[in-house]
Amino acid sequence: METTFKVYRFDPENGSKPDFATYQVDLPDSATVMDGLRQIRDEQDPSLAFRASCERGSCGDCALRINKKGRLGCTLKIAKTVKNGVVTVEPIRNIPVLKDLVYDLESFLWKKIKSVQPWITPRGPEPDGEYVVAEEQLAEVRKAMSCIMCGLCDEGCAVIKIDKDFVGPAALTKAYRAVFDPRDGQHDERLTLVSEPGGVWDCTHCFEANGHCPLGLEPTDRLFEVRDEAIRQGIRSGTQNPKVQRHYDSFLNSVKRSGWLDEGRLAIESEGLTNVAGLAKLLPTVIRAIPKGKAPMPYFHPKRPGAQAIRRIIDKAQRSEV
Amino acid sequence: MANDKYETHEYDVIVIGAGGAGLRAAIEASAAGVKTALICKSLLGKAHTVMAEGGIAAALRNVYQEDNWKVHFRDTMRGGKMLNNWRMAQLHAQEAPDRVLELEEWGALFDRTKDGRILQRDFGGHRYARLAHVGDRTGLEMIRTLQQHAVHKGIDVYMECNIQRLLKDGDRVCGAFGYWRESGKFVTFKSKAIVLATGGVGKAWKFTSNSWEYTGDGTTLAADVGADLIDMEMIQFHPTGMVWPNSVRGILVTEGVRGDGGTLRNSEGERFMFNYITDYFRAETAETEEEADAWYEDKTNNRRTPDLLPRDEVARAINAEVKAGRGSPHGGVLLDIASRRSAEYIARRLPSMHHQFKELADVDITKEPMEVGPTCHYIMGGVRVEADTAATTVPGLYAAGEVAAGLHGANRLGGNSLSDLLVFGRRAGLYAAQYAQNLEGHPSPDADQIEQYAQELLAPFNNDGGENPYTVHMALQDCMQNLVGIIRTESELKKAQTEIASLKERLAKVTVEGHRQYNPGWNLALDLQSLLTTAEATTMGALERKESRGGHTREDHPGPDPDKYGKINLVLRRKDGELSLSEEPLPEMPDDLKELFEESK
Ligand SMILES: Cc1cc2nc3c(=O)[nH]c(=O)nc-3n(C[C@H](O)[C@H](O)[C@H](O)COP(=O)(O)OP(=O)(O)OC[C@H]3O[C@@H](n4cnc5c(N)ncnc54)[C@H](O)[C@@H]3O)c2cc1C
Ligand code: SF4
Ligand code: FES
Repeated sequence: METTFKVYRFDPENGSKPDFATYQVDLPDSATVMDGLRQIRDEQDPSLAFRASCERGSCGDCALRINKKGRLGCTLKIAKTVKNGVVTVEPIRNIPVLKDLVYDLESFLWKKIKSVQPWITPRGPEPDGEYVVAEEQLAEVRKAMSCIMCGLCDEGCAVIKIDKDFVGPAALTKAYRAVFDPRDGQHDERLTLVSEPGGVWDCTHCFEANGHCPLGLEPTDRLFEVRDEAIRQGIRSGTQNPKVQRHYDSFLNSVKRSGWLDEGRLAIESEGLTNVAGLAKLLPTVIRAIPKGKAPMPYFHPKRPGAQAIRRIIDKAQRSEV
Repeated sequence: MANDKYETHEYDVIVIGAGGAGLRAAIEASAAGVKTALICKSLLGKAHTVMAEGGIAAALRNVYQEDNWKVHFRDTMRGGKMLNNWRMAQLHAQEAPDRVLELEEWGALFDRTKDGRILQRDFGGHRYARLAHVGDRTGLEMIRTLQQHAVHKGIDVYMECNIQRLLKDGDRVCGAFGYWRESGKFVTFKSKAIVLATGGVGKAWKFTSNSWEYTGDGTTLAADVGADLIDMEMIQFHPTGMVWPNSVRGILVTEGVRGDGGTLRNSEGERFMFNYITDYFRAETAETEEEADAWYEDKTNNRRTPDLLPRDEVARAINAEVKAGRGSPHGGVLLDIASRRSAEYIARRLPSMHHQFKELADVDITKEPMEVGPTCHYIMGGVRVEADTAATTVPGLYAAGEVAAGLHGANRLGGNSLSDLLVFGRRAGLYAAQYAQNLEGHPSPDADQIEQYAQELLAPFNNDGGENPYTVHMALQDCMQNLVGIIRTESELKKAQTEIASLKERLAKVTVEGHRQYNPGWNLALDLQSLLTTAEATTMGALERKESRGGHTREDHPGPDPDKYGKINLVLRRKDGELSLSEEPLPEMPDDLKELFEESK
C-alpha cells in the first residue's frame, strides 16, 4: 500500500522552526505506523528520531499523535488510520519536544507519578510465606495493573492542557493501584495526598482519558474510584485543599435545600465567603456569563418538585453514615 | 583532580542497565550504603524485562509440597544439558523463592489461587507448576515494582545514556564513558565498581523477539577490558514466535500458551511433538494424548505433555516439521488453544497474547489457532562470572542477568531468567558494594584514554566511506539468520566468519550525516561494533563445538559428545585486539548433588 507520511520534524540544534516533512512509503497492508517510520529512517532519512522498544504494545515507549489522535505507533495498522492516503505523525501534545518525535517525559509524566508516591508500605509484620489475597481484592487492583505508562491518557486530558499542575490520569491510575492494594498501611495518608490541589478534585469529568487508554484501563473511572474511597473514609480534602471540603458541603447543602444544584452559591462557597481574592477571581466569569443569560442568581434558587423527597433521602443517607 | 573535559560524575558503584538485574543490583548496592547510580540507554521501565510474559520460576512449595530447590536445581541442570555452572544453578534454585516474596513485599502482586496464595503456571522443563505470574504480563509487574522501589530509595538514575567504553586503572575498572542520546554529548562516570546488566544480543538475528537495545553491548564492553566470555555459541531460539504478518515475524508468543493447555499441530492436524521425544526426556514425558491432557489436572499419576519439552527440543521439532513440508501456510506450525480452553479462560490467562494477535495479525486466538515458528530469543552465553559474587575476571567488574553466563548452561528454561535477574542482580549489587567499600582512594581514569575514546566514537561523522549503518545491520542479520541459526554446519559457519570479517571492514566505512543530537544513525553505527563483536564470538564458539547440545545444533555433528564437549566450556578472551578461544573444564559438582541425577534417571 502506497502511503504518504507527514512527519513532524524539529531539530533545536539547527535553529529552524518545527515543520512537517513528507515521505512516501510502500508497505504491505498489515504494516503498522511504526513500520512506516522505521522504513523512512532506515531507507530515506537516518536522522529521523523516534522512540520504540517492545514493538508490540507492552512498554508504552511509542506513544504518538497519529492523525490527530493519541495512539501507540507499534500496534496501530496504517490501514486502520490512513485518511485519503495520508498518515500524519506528531509527538503527543502538551509536552516539550526534544527532537522530531522524541519528547521529554521527565517533566510531563515522571515528576507527576513520583508525586503520588505509588509505592506501598505493607502494614503489619511480614507474613511467613506469601500474603493471602482474596480474588475480590485482587480484582480491584487488577483494574490498573497493566498500565504501561504510555502517557496517552494525559495526552487526551482536557485539564492538563490548561493546567500543568494537574497530576493527571496517568499518575492517578498509579495512585489507584496503591490505594486499592489490600496490603498497604498508608491508606489515609495516600488518600489525603491525592486530595491536595492538583489531585483527584481537579478532574473536570470530561472522560477523555477513558477513550485514550490503549489498554482499556478507563483511567477516569479509576480516578473517580479513588475519590469515592476518599469520601468513604471521610477524607474530603487534602491538608492544603480546604476548597474541596467547602465545595462538597455547599453542593450538599444546596441540593438538600432546593433539590437543585445552586451553581452560583457553589462557586462562592467553594472559594470561601471570607476569601476576597478568590471571590474577585470569579467576577470576570460572572460578567461574561450575564449577557448570555447564564449567570445564576446565587441563593435565589426555586425548589424543584420533589425537593422534599430528596431531602429525606439525604437525611437518611447521612444518618446511616454515622 | 585534573579538570575533566567532559561532564563527569563520581560514584562508588555504577550499574549499567536498568532491567530486572540492574534495578535489583542498584537497590542492593544502595541499601549497603554506597553511592550508587543506575544508567540505561532507553527510558526507565522500557528495558526488555518489561516484555517478559509467562512468569518467574521459584520452588515456592505453596501448591506442590513435593517441589523444592533440589527439584528446581535438577530441572535447570537437565534443561541446560549439564553445561551449567552447578553452583549458580544451586544458588538460583535456593534463593529464588525469597526473591519472589521480597518482590511482593515491595508491592508486586502475583495471580492467586482460590485460597489467596501465589498461583503458579506450568512451563517447559519444570517438573512442577512453578512460575509465579501476572497473567502474561509478569515482566511489567516486576519492572514496575523494582523501578518504584529504586525511585523510592532515591537512587540516581541516568536515562538514555549509552555507555560505550569501560575505563581502567591498571588491571581494575575505574569508570565508564558514553554519550547522552538526547544531546549526543559525552559523559564520564568515575566509579570504584561496575555492575554490567545490559542484557543480550538478539538484534544480530533477523527474526527475533528482542528489541533494538539487544546489541551485545555489555558482552563487548567486558571483553574489551579483558574479561572472559563463555558459552557464546549457546543461543536460544524460542519455539513460538509469530510468523505472520511478515512485519511482526519473530515477536514472541509466550510458552504460557502451552503451559495453560495449548498444543502444537502440523498442517495435517497431528500433535507432532509426540514424535520428537528424545531418550533423555522419555521417562518423564507422556506417550499418549490422553496422558498428556490428563497431566494438566493430575500431575502425580501422569507424565508431562511433550508440548512442554525444553525449548531447544521444541524449536528443533518445529524446524523439522516445516522442512518436511508439514508447515502452516506461512512457514510455521499451528498452536491451538482455541479448541481446548474456553474463550473466557484464554482472555483472562493470556490477555496480552489475545490483544497482540488481534491487533497485529487479525487473529482471534479464542477462535482460531496461531501460526508460530522459532525466533531468536535469548543468549545463554556471555560474561563469565564467579558463582557466589557475580564477579567477572576483571577486578571491580561484576555482571548479572542475561549478559552474564553460566546459570543456564546450553539451554535456559522458561521463567528461569526473571528469577536469575533477582538472585544474581542482588548478589552483584552486594559484592560490588563490598568491593567498593574496601577500596581506598578515588577512581581516576586516564584523561588521554578518554580523549582517544571520544575520537573513536566520533569517527562515523568523519568517514567518507558512504556506508549506511542500517544496510550493514541488515546484512549482519541475514548472515546470522541464514548461517548461524538453529541448525548449523561447518561450511556455513566458515562462510559466516568471512561475512562478518567483511562487515567489519564495511563498518569502518560507515558514514553518518547531521549532528550528534538524538541521531539514530550514529547510535546504530556505534552499536554495530558490539553487534559484530558478539556475532563473531558466537560464530567462533559454534565452529569449535563439534557436537549438538541445547542451543547449539550441528548438522554435521548431530549427537552430544559427552566425553569431550560435555566436559568443557569454550572461553573467549581478547588478546592483542583479537578474540582467542580456549577450552576449560566445567567446575566439578560435589557428590551429594551428583546423586540427584543418578537416582531418578
Ligand atoms: C518477549 C520476551 C518475553 C520473555 N518472557 C520471559 C518470561 O516469561 N520469563 C522469564 O524468566 N524470562 C522471559 N524473557 C527473558 C527475560 O525477559 C530477559 O532475559 C530479561 O528480562 C533480561 O533482563 P536483564 O535485566 O538482564 O536485561 P534487560 O531487562 O534487557 O535490561 C537491559 C538494560 O541495559 C541497558 N543497556 C544495554 N546496553 C546499554 C549501554 N550500552 N549503555 C547503557 N545501558 C545499556 C538497557 O537500556 C536496559 O535498561 C522474555 C524475553 C522476551 C524478549
Ligand atoms: S492508564 Fe492507560 S493511557 Fe494512561 S498511562 Fe496507563 S496505559 Fe497509558
Ligand atoms: S514500542 Fe512498546 S508499546 Fe509500542
